[in-house]
Formats: sequence, C-alpha cells, structure tokens
Amino acid sequence: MIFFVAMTFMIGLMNFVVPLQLGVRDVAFPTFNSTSLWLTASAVLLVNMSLFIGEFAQTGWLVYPPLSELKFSPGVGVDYYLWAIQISGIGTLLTGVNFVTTILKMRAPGMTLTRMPIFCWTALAATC
Amino acid sequence: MRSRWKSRWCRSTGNGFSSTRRRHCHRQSTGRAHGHAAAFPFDLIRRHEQLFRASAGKPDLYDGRHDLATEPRGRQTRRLSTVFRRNSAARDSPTWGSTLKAVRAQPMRNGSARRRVAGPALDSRAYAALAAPSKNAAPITYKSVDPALFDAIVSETAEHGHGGLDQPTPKKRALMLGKLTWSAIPFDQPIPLITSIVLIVIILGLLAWITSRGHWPYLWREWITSVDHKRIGVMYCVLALVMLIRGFSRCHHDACAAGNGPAFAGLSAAGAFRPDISPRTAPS
Repeated sequence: MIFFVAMTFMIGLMNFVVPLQLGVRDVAFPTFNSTSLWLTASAVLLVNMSLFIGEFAQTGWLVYPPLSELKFSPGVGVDYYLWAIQISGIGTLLTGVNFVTTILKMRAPGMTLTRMPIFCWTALAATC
Repeated sequence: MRSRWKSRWCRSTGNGFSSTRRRHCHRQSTGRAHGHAAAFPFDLIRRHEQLFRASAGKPDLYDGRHDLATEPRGRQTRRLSTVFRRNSAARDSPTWGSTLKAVRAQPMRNGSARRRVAGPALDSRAYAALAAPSKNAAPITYKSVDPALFDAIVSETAEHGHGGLDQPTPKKRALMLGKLTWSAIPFDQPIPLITSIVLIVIILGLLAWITSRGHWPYLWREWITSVDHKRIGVMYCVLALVMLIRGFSRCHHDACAAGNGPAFAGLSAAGAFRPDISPRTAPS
C-alpha cells in the first residue's frame, strides 16, 4: 500500500507537475523515467503473481518486523515482496537521480531556488 | 586465625623472600587451604605432583582401557594409572582407577588415517541415510566424498531420505523452478483461486479486445514506449489506482475471512486468522 500505491502516486504526480512548474520540456533523463515506470510495473506484476502462485505477503502496509519475520510469515509471500521491493527500488533510485538532476540543473532562466514552488521543494526533498 | 594470617602474609610476599618461606606458602595454599584446594588429596600433591604435571602437560591423553591408539615409547608414555589407583584405594572409590596415557601426535594421526581408509564413501545414498533417525550411532570417518554432492545439496536436488527433518523429495526438479511446484497454486482455497481466474480472464479479454480493434501500434508508440513525462505520470497514477483497488480488495477479503468487521492486511499475519498463534486462543 505504501510502496506501490502512495509512492507510485506521488512519483506520477511529480512526473506530471514538476517539469511544468520548473519550465522545462522534460526531465533530465527521459529514458530513465520510462525505465523506472516499467520497473515499478514489473514489481507490481510480481507481487500480484503471488496472489495465485504461492501466497501473498500478509505483512501490512510497510512490511515491518515482526510481521515480516520468519515466525509470522513462514511462506514465500515475503520472498515475493522482497524481490518486488528490490526491483521497484531500482526504479525509484533512477527516478530520484532524474528529479534531483532536473531540479538542480534544468530550471528555466529566472527560476531560482528561492522562486521555486513548494511542490518542487517537496519533490527535491523526497528524492534526495 | 593462624591460617588466615599465613594466607595474608603469603599474598603480601614478593620474590625477594627466602625459598623456604615461599615453599611453605605453596603447601599452605594447595593442601590445607579452604575451598576447592582443600578437597584435593594432599598425598597426591606431595608425592606425585611432579609426575602428574609432567604427564598432564603432554599433548594427548586418552583412556588406556580401550587401547584405541598405539602405545608410544619412552619417557612420554608414563602411566598415570599408578597415581590414580593409589589414590582411589585411599578414597575407596573404584571409579577413580581409569588409566590415562599420554601419546604422541603421530600415532594418533596414523590411527585416524587407518580409520579413514576403512570408512565408507559419502555419496548421495549415504547422505540420504544420514537424515534417518538413529540411536547410539558409532562415529564414522568417510574415506571419500562424492564431488557432486555439495552442488546437489545446495541446489536441493540431493536425496533427503525418509523420516528426517526434511520432507522427502519424490524426484529431482529442474533448477529453474526452484521450490515452485503445483502445490503453490491454491486449489484448496476457492476465493483466491476464483478471483485469480476471473482476473486472468479479464486481462485476456482486454488484450483480445485491444488486438481486435487494432490499438496495439497506438499503445506501443504513444504510451508503452513513450518518454513524455506527462504520459509517464499518468501511467504511474493509473498503476497506483490499480494497486489501491487491489489493496482494498485484499483488506475486504481479510475482513471477510476474519468475520469480525474491518481489518487490515497485517492483522492476518499477526494472528487473526491463525488459531495457533492467535492471542484470542492463547492461554492467559
């Protein structure tokens, strides 16, 4: 719920809004951006496969221990979730590099850091 | 009082005192002192202390009754049986009379080498036999190990035997599938099975509709391979909405399975659906 809903929605919103607010045509690395999306989609597909092959990870929203430990999750559900998080994490890392580079190096002329909208500051803080 | 004074005096003495006084201190602290040293036989200390220390300082001691090793020669083969038997007669304890021998390292290595040559080979069949329950099993030294056994154990294709801790493996599986078997599909759970089948049917129907309407070139060119940040943002949000619906359906499924109203997904792992660890069934 956190990794594949909240974070995904926030990244999508940042993708849509941040370049428009900064006055740039696209992000710094557009291909990285597309790769991040499909890595996240692959992770979503993997974690959904565990619904009918194996078992789903019943570890709550954040996969915190002790719910994710072997005692309470002895099956393969956490294994699915771990791999999905790793794959999605690569995409999130690429997205972070992309947004930091875009915000720091590709702003429109006159768009200083002090004039930058607060949502762009939020995106910069979230991706750093 | 005198003993306490002597102990205090002995602790305060240094190396500069005479040898007579220091020897007296040694006897006082081992033979007649309080605590563990008082239980040690005094005659052993006085008569055979040097013998005991000389033999006990050797590298290997073993029980001479079983004659497990070749008896070495020379001064290093000094028996301690005389010492212990004499003291056992004094203490009326027949169990004190075991024989200890000090041997050199080379005879021990020769004996180990003989046992290693005479031992069986460790292959997959012998490995499977190790998993079976045993009782009073004698020590075994394998003379050789199958080179492919380690890889078979790591890849879990080795035979596990019957009756051990591991479940028996009926046949060797391909490495690509790992632990994946047909038992991973929940044939005995109708709700996830039917949901999965319906979901797969919907996805296949959607793909068939896209194919029949000829939308694949447009989808591939304008959305799937697009690098436009606005379209990528829209696809991110659509993906998040799909997972949001799936998450709520999972919560609803867990709540229905619990039968006690709304529940989050984590409660199932916390014991709401597992009677063996549920706090409601745990003894208070």
